[in-house]
Amino acid sequence: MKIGIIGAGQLGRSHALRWRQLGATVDAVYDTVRPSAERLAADVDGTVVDSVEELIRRVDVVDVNTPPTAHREPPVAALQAGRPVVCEKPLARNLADGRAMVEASEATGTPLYVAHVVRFFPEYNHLHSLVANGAIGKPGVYRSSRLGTYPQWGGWFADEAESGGVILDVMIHDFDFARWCCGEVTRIFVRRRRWAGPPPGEHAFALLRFAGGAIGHIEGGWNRPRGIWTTKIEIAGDGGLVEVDNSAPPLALHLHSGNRPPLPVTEDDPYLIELGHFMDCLEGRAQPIVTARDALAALEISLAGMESARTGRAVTLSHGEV
Amino acid sequence: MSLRVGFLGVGHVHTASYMRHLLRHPDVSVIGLYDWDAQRAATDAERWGIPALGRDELIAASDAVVICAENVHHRALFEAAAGKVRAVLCEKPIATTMTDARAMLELAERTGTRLQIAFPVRYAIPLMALKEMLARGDLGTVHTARATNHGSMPGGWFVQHELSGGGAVLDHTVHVVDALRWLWPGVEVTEVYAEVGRDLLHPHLGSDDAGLLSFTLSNGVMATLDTSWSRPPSYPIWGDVTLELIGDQGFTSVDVFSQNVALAPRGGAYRWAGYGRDLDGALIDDFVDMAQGDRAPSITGEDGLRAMEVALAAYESERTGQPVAVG
Repeated sequence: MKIGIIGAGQLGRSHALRWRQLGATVDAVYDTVRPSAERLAADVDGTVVDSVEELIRRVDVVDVNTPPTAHREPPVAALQAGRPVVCEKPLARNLADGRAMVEASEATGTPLYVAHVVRFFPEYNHLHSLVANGAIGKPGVYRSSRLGTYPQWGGWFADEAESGGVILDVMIHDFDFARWCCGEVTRIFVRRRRWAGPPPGEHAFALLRFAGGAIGHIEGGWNRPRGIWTTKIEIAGDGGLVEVDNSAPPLALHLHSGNRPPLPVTEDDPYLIELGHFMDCLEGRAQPIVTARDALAALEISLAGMESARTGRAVTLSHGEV
Repeated sequence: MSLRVGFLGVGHVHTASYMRHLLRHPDVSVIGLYDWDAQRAATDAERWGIPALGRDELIAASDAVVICAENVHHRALFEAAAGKVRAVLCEKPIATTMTDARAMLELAERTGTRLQIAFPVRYAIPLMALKEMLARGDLGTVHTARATNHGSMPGGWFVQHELSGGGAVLDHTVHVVDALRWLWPGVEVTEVYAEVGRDLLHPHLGSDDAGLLSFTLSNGVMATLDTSWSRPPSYPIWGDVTLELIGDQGFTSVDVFSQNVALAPRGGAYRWAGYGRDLDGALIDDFVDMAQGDRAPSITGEDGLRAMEVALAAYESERTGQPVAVG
């Protein structure tokens, strides 16, 4: 399987290395910043190409890791050329782009897999299985938290026009996961705060109502001191409660130097599991556990949350019309 | 001379804890109890070895009273005692309507009977330390507060709204709102949005049993609170009171009941056995000290009213589906 990577930043690199671990070839790399493409191509024995069109011609699968504002044209072109697409989350920066991508996938019958990686984190996946199998009865109160450091390393994350800030970039993970566990979201209310610092910070609290009556509290933030990254989730149902706190992970490394070398990629690695799953789907061995429609729904929730944060009002979702 | 204390109502689950602390307090003599339910009064009188008396008889013999009746009875019992006793400790919430709460405040003012509301969380050592940290400015400008007051479903009259006035939202909102108002003196809640769950975790309960509040404070902090009765009987602890504050200089987290030892007895349920300060004991000591002297209560009727007001605003937001202004 020949993979073409569009966007050779941190995530593009992460995907490229894992595709190779899965036995695929990273054939082509494209980035508007050519030196980035060259560095990644050199590391994965790929070829730097000059255009998206050239990349699409060369490869079997297109993997898009650009900022969400640049998500529309390359995937749509790839899908129209019959090339399956793997695309980082969020699906897009606005609903029109997201719809165009989903429609291109459906019109051509070509798969569009969106990398909602939280579904592939083993602890989240297991928690979902428990909930889906009735371990806690009917879900009633969903709570989750995803908190990290402000993206001060430059690039586009801190630019709301590009990334959508924490509501779109961070909390979409939990909107998708909450929807997977508790069903459609019908209403959202968000308070969001940004501060200039130094250091700058951003934080948001979302309250959700689900179609089945459940309620949810989702927190996302970029405000932790450097190196602190925490996720927590808890779902209470009418038959019990499940919770996961990642503050005691199965494997941790703490060095006197303060350095944090990446941990070895094991079979528990969520990105490896995710891309392996997409590969299984492409080769007919599995059905996708996250569809393009799921990604579109998560995008709609995030955008409604951003609207709520802007207006100070609760926003009712029209998910039936998506 | 010891302080003579009577119980006006023994229906609240905290009766037992307050009673134990008062019975062993060296400066207190518990002279008796009253409850509108004669059966309940007789049972408790026997349990604690004190007489069950008529309401006015008990008030006449008391220097101070503790109101531990169902929430809707707080006002009438306070009205019976005001002007006749030095001080009253009233279980939270102060009442179930703004009208009742305002009447109680006005009566306390007029008669000089000092009214203290039972918010034991204020005596939690981690929260007291947090108050000092905030006064010192450790966090810089504080931007957010995320609180939980999870619990187990209490049952009984707590889920009969004609007696309780409300379920999980009323029961738990008041503790955390009071704690926040106390952490930042002079600060009030200005706007509340709430998602309230009814019969969500306990089918056919007939009460709200889950609540998520999103609110703003007059100092600019945005806050949330989870009031849900979401801890099943198998959970190792009854519930929690947690608070995380984020400021531009860092964040701090408080977990009031994390002072515990994990205990797995052979033949019993796994549980988290707490060793932290007994908050009810600290509350009782403070109340007795106030009732003996002439100082103002540390937790006032106004504090009780402001906390209840936020819970009532949450129910209003549930009705309208939009944020509601407070105050």
